[in-house]
Amino acid sequence: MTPQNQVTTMVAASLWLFTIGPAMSQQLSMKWGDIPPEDLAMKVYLPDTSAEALVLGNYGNLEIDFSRGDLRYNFEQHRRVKILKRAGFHKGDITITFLKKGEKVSNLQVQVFTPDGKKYSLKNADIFEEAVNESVSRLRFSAPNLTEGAVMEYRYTLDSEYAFQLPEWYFQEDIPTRWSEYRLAIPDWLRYVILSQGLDANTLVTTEGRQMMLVPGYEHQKTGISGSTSVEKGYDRVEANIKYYRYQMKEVPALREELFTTTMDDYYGRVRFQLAATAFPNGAITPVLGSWEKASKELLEHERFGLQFLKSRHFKRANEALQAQLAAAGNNDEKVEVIYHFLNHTMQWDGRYSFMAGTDLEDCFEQKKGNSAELNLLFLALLKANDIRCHPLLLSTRNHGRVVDLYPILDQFNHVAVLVEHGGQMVVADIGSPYQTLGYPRMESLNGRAWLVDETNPQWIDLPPLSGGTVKLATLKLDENGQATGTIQYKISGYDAFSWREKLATQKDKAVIMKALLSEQYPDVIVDEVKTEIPEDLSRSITIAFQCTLPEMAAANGDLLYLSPVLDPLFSENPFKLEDRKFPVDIPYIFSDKFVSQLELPEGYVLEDKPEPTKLALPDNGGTFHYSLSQIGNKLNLVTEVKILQLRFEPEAYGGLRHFFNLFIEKQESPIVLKRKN
Amino acid sequence: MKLPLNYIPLIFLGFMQHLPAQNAAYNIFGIPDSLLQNANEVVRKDDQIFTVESLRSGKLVRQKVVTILNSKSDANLLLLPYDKETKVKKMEARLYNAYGQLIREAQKSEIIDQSAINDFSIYEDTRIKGLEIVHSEYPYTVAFEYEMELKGIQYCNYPNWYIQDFATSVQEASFKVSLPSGMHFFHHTLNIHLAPDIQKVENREVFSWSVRNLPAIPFEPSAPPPSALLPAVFTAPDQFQWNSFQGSMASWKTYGDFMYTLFKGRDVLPESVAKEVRRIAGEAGTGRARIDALYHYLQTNMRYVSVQLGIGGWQPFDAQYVSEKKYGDCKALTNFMKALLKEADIEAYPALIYSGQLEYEVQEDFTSPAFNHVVLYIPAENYWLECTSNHFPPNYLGQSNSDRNAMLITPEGGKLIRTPALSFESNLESHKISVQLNQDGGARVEVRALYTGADHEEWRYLLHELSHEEAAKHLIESSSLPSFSLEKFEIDAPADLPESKVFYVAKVGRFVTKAGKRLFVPLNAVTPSRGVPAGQELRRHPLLIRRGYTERDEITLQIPEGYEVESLPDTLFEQKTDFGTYRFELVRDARQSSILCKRELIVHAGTWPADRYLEYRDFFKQITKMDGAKVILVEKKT
Repeated sequence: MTPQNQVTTMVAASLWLFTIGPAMSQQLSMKWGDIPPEDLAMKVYLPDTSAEALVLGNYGNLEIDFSRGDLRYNFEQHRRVKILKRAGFHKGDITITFLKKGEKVSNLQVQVFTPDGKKYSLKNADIFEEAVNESVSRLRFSAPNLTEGAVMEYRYTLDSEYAFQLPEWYFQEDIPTRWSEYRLAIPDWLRYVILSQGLDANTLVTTEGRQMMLVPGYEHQKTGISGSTSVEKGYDRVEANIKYYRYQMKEVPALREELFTTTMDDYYGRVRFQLAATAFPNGAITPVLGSWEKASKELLEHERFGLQFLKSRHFKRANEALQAQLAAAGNNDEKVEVIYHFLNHTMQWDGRYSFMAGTDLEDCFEQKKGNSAELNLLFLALLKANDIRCHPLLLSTRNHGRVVDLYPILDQFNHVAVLVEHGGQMVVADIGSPYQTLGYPRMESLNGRAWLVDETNPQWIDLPPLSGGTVKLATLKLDENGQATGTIQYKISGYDAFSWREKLATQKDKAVIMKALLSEQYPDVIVDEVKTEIPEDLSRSITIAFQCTLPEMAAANGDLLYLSPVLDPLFSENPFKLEDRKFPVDIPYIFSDKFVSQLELPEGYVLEDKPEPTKLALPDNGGTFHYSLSQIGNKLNLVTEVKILQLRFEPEAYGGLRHFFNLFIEKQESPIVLKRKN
Repeated sequence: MKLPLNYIPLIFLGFMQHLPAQNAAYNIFGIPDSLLQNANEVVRKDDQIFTVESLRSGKLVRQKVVTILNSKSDANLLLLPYDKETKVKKMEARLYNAYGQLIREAQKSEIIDQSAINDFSIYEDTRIKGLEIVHSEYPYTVAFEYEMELKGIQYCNYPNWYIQDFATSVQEASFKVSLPSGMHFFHHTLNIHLAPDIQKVENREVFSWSVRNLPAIPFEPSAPPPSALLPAVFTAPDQFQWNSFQGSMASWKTYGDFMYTLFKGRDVLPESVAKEVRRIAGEAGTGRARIDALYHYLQTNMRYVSVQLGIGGWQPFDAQYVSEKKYGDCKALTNFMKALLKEADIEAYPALIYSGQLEYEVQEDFTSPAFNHVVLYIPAENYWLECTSNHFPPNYLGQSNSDRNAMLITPEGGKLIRTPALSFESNLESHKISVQLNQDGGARVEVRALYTGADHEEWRYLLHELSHEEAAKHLIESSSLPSFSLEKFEIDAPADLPESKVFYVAKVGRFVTKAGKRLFVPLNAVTPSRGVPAGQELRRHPLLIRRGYTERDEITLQIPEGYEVESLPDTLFEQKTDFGTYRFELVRDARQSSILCKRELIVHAGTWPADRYLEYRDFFKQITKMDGAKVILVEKKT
């Protein structure tokens, strides 16, 4: 589906339609300027006494509008906010965003009522229009005369020609909402797909009615009283079925952000509308949204998607530049690797996500930078040009939210990666970092599933769970003053290796990096002879080994030595500090952290006290932990490992997860006690 | 609202012309080795010419060629701020590879143009044009050229010549100021000995400065601001005009005269407010009590919203505007407060100031409008008011405005004045902590804290700007105690004193670590050390501690039944250095049932030579070690 085509088709199909009049108009139920005295007097909102502000009412009304000869909509919003505390004053700062072309905001009015009964209106001069960039503008204003207890309301009309996607409605915000209502009147000529989340079952009431519409282009013979006839060109009345939607939610609690969530948009109660088909009278049903197959076909034919990697004019020079390197590649697998590395080393990601090329790929290649789509479409282009099997994969990144898979709604995507054949299987690739290996997309891409764009067989694919991990091996000798010396080796794989590769490439002094790992526990640590083994093959793990002296690893007290034997634990405090949680914990990839050490005791010392061996597991194999300590001769052998194997923990599992972290962190912090033999 | 797809901006680029150019001056082989040390980029050639055209406008032309050595450099990005008056006339860039071969020229379509509104600002005129040149192979060279027509606020400021940034070396650079004969300007050199070469050309006078082969200066933490380390030439106009206002930067006095005319007559209150002011003033008495009462009126009725348009960047919205809207920016609110005081027969002067981390210390002997904020000063009481805060106590400017030069705007012109410093005595964090351990390693921790000065601001903010629930969440997430639940939590911040009192009871599930029959108990779990400063073997810049402070804690640890002390840290540890003092003392009660730990850290503000840095670091290493000390308890033998 190309949205541009989509709009054109709809406009063409609807040019002959006119409405008779504004009969669809519905009055909004909150009257402008009529503030109930009890709302003005309200001091605290009982369902949430901590709220600093409250949405008293938020009403939206949407009507489809043919009166100008094309398909548009009119959207009115009237929102009223009660300021309860000074901390809520910023809720009086409002921004209304719209598109410069094809959209207009009019009749914006703002007024404030203070508890002493006074009313203040905002002047037009105090509403500012800011051109954010070429296509987007926003109106910004601050409600005047805010006091604790004040009620602020504003309303405006948005006139838009983008009826294939109606304004989204949020029933929930980060302050409580007492009443939220969205009404839409939609002729059955237009069929919308409705996507809602977080709504109660009884939120929506629909009713139906009929209404006359004018149809132009018909000729009528008219016979006058005198018997003369005239031809009247004009409009025919056509009766349309109108569906009235009325969404209502009351007393919606505030939803505030917590750590380790993908994006709050995954959780706010909201509803979205996407035009799926038009079925005008005397016309056939014209699918707009169509099927996934159709969407695929249109994407592949789109100037800024498919054509970019299918037509050589968009990547000719990139392909030429590649050939010298490609000549050395034997089979297809090697070719894939060469192209992948060529792009990762030539092109720089500009930090932006998109699934469409904003700039022609040829120009991106020249500028050596691009957004996520431009980089990956260029990858597709070069793969295809060199006869490698590959497909675009549309994605919604972790920050952009989860996708719904029923309908081909493209704006839920914000990124495109590549599925490419390599080593006899299809692997996911994502251009943007010279340190990331084939098969490991950027961490932001790890959001569950992706949609494979293919004309004949488009499909959802689940992204394989990926991993990262570190194994630390320490061989140390302790003396009776508490000083330990020896070697430590880090072996780092998967996602962790990529970030380490980057760190090691940008920081010249490797001892500084390794020292930083231990210096929080042991400020006096001395690190030298750092040796790194960084294979060129990005899929292989890297090794860092170094000599290390920990002058105060153990604290001496008479005949006793105390020490914490686990060095550089993955977590030194529990990241899950809050007692409970409303949203799932989302972890991008599975990870493990293992520490193995052999500690030689000073002459004449024995183990006096030690932590008990432990094994822990989260339900359903969500994670494991073990810890064991044994003594062979004068050597202490310690093995401990934590693994998180599940990517998502629902709020019900949060308590267990938090407890698991508490237990293993405590165990890894636990000291041992050595004693000098008499 | 999300954008429909067809609104992704479509950019058409013409095919680049291949120019057979190769500029030998741009290849990297011409860079002396001495310029590569500590450098992320090398300025190869940088010529800047500022041509004064009239009292209202000037033209800035710059050609800058810079070799980017590694990815830490951001010299490949050119940002030009502009507004309704100042225009960018030309903005170009060319990319050369290491051999000095031209790779490409930037297209016009690559220039990003967007509004530059601060998050906290509802509206400003400022926009920004940006051009970023990227290349995958280091080193590479970028040649930027731009021209700007300076008017309004950007003209009144005159351009300064920042010769080098940290980690930038300079091969060749020059700066010229060309004025019509008869016009004057002022210049001031920082951290370099340079005198201008002055030439008369037709009807103009041209001042030129130039430098060659300046090695890179590294950035170091806890060092003086750039204005004390990096070479620069500052300039300022003698005479300038903006709309109908005429001004001069000849002295602080004349700059203040100009500002005074911008503020003049804007302090007329509507009669209803004036009446209210007279009532409040009448009830409050005289002097400070009267100021406090009116400040309270400001704080409870007005709020900070930034709107900056054109000359509004310097001129306040008048008192009428603030009365009507009940909001204003720093100038408008300060001017409004001044109007309130005037109505109550108290004279007050707005004071221009640079708020936040100081990049440039305002110099007494050179007038330059290096300010971004304004506060209010009442000379009769030697009293300061921060008019954008709804909860600061009177006569408290906050950490971001303290201890720096500000310019008073008085009827007699501008006067420099220094804002009060927050001393180590006034910045206090004090905790009285009682820890009751239970058998399974958890603890009930009761904390009574008193914060004053800079350290109290966060808590005052939490009290006034967040709900109690959110404040509690913040405490839990920012605390250094292991995960806990809050049993009680109270914050109190008196309206008239810069202090916050906090009381909470935390139930910590895992306070101690266990090993068999021993418990390892942290003594200082609530206020752990601030960490050891980064190690630097070759410190170059002086050490600057900008803010002194005091931490004073008393921690009482109740020993649980069945346990006795096996090991304690030193019972008395003292360190006295020039940077501060540290004292750590343990006292055990007669019945051996508890341990009292008294801890005091005093850090002094000041500047020390670079060779003292390691000593400073050692001081903090000692503190960190003591603060991490644990008491070891062992099950009593039965």
